[in-house]
Amino acid sequence: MTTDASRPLLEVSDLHLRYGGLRALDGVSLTVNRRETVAVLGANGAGKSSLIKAIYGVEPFSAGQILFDGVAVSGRSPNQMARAGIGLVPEGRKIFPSLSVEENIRLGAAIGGHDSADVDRVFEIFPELKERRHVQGTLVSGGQQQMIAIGRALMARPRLLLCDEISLGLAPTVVDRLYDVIGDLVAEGMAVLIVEQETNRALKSSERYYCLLEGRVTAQGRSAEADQDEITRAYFGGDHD
Amino acid sequence: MTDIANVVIQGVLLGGLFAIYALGLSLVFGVLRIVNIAHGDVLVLVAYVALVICDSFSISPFLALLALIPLALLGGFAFQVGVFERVDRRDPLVPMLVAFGFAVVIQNGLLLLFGTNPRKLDAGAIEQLGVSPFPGINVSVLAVMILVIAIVLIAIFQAILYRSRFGIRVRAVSDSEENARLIGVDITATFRKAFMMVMLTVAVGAVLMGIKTNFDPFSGASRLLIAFEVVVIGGLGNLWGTLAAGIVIGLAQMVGASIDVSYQTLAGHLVFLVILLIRPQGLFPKVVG
Amino acid sequence: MTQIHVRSSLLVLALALALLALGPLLLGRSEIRYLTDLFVLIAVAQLWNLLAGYLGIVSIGQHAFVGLGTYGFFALTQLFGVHPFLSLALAFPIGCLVALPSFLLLARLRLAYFAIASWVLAEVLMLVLGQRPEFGGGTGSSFATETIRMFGAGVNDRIATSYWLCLGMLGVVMGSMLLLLTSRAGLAIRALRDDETAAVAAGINPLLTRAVLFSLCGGMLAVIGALDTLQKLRISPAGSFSLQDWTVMIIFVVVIGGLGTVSGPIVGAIAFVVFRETLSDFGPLYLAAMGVLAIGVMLFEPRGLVVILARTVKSLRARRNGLAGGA
Repeated sequence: MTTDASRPLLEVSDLHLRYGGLRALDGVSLTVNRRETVAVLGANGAGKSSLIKAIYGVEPFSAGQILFDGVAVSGRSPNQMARAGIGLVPEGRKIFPSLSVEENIRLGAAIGGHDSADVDRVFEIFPELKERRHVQGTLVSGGQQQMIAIGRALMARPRLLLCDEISLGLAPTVVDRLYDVIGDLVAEGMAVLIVEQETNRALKSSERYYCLLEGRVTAQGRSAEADQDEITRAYFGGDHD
Repeated sequence: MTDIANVVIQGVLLGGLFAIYALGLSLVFGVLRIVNIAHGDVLVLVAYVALVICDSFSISPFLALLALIPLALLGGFAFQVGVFERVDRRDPLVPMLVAFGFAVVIQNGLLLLFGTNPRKLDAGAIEQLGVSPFPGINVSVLAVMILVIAIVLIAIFQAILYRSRFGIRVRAVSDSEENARLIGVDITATFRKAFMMVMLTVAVGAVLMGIKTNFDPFSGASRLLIAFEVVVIGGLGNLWGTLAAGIVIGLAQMVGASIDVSYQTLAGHLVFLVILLIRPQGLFPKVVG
Repeated sequence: MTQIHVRSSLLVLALALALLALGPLLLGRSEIRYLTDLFVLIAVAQLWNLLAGYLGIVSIGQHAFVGLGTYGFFALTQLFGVHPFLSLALAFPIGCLVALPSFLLLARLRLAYFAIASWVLAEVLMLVLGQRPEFGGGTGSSFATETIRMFGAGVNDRIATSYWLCLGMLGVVMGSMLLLLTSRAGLAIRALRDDETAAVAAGINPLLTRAVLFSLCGGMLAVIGALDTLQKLRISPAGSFSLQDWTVMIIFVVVIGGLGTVSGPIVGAIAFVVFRETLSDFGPLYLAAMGVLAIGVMLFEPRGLVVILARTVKSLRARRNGLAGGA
């Protein structure tokens, strides 16, 4: 299967998702190109996490279309997404207490499908994890747990990485470190979709952005050209001028 | 003195059999999260299948095990796909009640087919074989064999759970099915393989049970209760703890029986309740591998 | 609105009880026995339903308390010479007093484990009481004729007394359950099964509420056990502590009828009796069939026959309306 390199890697069009009567996503469309970092901004409850969950097949959506590398992947399970080449760094990290640091990372390879990247590569990126490889996964610091979650997603050699709120609750130096790593990964050819509440941080580390409010895209553009006032309006809605 | 030694030896050896009963149940509880009330009845059902195989082909139960294991795995797989995967598991009560229904169906089905007479599998001369390492001390070769099989089985399971990719998946699912699914673990495939492991313990356990003790269509309940007590005392997720807990219950039963035969079962239950009272988390809590 | 609802359901209950109380005057001996069985079945099922369907306590050791009541009644009347009617009443505190510590011990286990551990406890109780020579050991023992005579000189009188007593007990169970569930605390209690935090927010202490209600259920089961033994006229470990009669069948009745509804156990009990009478010629087959039915309900409509019936009625009515509209 040869793919058109000019075509976006991920194409989400007109995605709708409801929880009961609540509209979590109301016609969201976005694209992520190869070797690109795209940020999705928005306040709590704007639909950011629902978007990640809908893309990754965790929450079944009611209407819309998702193409990954030109192939329709709507309705697939998270396992099939992982096999197709999408990695998830979930909100809240989801580290398993029964597994050691190293096993938590290896779990990413155990998901199946791809040849596993070497754990050593993850340890090269995050040397502090190597020292604590035999410690229970939930007993290391929050920053290190976030590194485990990223390392775990890298084990299946994804072409697209979905990162859900990776800066949440972490010290700024740690966050810088994580975003540096993500920058390196993009330089190596990966595409990344980050969901962030911290607007400045996300704009600094991305090429393009989308802003969500009440399940709708209220602003989008190049991160470098983003206008602070426009973002604020798109972020909070209403008239804030 | 030798009497006490004999009781202890018998208790320890009996513990091996109990650990095999419990090995499967602890996976069912810990990984699949079903309160499988039918576990004992499935053991008895498989023992009857072994009986039919042995009688039809006039072979030793150990040889019958070669046919029984694939049969049990196949049956388990069919149950898994046909029933378990269709059950609404959001409410843990629902799968439990389904298992409850199966328990009663198995009991009464066996009653219709085989009647109430107690049965036994005949393993031949080995059943009477004994050695006497010291004067007055008697050790049954069969019982030692059962304990060895239990140890081997536990060692294999321990290696699978703590040394393989599949084991990492199983333990992740056991921690949180929801989170494991979220990050891309194939829950259905993991459950299927884990249930195959359960059925392996059931096949082995059924044959050993059938050789060591009598069974009838209603024997499942007592096996379930023993397996359950061993799982709770041993703590989930530590298989050597399961063996130790099996030995605790085995010892309790043999000490009870040495006072009065009718106290055998009661003594096991009482030890369980006492441990529950003082250490509800079990004697051997979970370890991280 | 709720007040009216409560009053009307209590009124319906009282009317039904009054009507049924006429039974022994109008019906033949076998019908009376039949109904007595049904009353006991519904009462026990309703108690299990309260625990499992509302409080989230899944016990498979309810036969412990029925057996305890039976043995307690025997001990009081036969060994200590207490008046039988007083003994019936005393079965209640006996059941409560044993159920309370049992619950506190088992409550240390998670829901799932609680179920099997309660069964272990029932086994222990049966094995301990069943081995005492005072109760006739494993074979059991019969009641003295003079005790039985206290409930009526002739067989017909005794059957009628037993009928009224069991009906009264059913009334007590149903009435207290309706009052409890519709009381102010009742709403919070209903939440215990699905949403414990909501119950806590409403000011309910989950452990205390469960302990008290489990204990009261234990007491009522003990009285039911004592009443039932009046019909059997004897006690035995296997019969009085019957897992099959007092737990397995009860769970099927509730599950098939509809867990967590007041009408479920009634519908389930009637379905069960009909089933048993139709298939009784085939021996153990009817039990297996009950198992299959319960599995089927759990797989296809875990809310039970009550919901299935309601849906059928609704669709039939809709079809009739549709036909009427078309004509």
